[in-house]
Amino acid sequence: MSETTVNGTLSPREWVNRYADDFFRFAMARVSDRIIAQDLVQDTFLSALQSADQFRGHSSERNWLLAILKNKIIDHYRKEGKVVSLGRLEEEDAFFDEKGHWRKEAAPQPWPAPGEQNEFYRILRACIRKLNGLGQAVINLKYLEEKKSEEICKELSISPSNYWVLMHRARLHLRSCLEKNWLK
Amino acid sequence: MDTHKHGWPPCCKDATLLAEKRLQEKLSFRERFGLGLHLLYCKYCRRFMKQGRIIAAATEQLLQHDESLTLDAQVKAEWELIISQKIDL
Repeated sequence: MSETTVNGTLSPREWVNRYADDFFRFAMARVSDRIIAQDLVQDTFLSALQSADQFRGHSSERNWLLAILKNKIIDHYRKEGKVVSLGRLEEEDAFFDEKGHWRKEAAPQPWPAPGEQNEFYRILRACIRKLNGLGQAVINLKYLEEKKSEEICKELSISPSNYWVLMHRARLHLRSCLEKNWLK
Repeated sequence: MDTHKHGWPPCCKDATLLAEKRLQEKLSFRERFGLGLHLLYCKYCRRFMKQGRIIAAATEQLLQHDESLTLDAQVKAEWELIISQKIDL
């Protein structure tokens, strides 16, 4: 492949090789859908090509591309109406009654020693996919990207208490989904 | 946590939320003591926290080794083609 550089510092012919895998993971952690994540990364490369003359070299090529990808992801959230609407957090509570006690059917049951590990992982994966968009985002950012809670709050524009509530809901859903499907 | 009255010691809902909060920041003495007291008499919340640790460890394992997070070579090849076509225009 020839050494084509645009504007002296960008090397678009190397982009796929250098950044595609990282960027795809980055997008997957935030949108949890292969096709959408692929589209976002592809769009990023194409937009970057079109606006290559705006690259001033103030940031590295990677950071410049990543900034474009982040904007694409935010646009995607906007279009989907997913701009962190926390209204849904006060959804009817399937886990606790009005006094804040465990509902009988939701109270954690004892788990046996894990037998078939693969089965456990398979069900866990399915349960993660069943979380709502924001729930998946916090779980992915924490466990896939190992981000600190402050970084997660900043990225999703939520307050620390929103974060605990989201994480708490995600854990409640995951635990109950596992118990229902794994212990059958 | 914001809409219902916070009793003391905390109810199960508040206790499990405090357990989450504790992972991020230091609890006040009152919160810490309330959580500890609640866990003494509530086997469900003890289970919830124990199982939560199992799930967290498994989730980390799963996501760190998730093959669905790998791009197809074919997709990458297509992208390279598209990019080089655009450059050569």
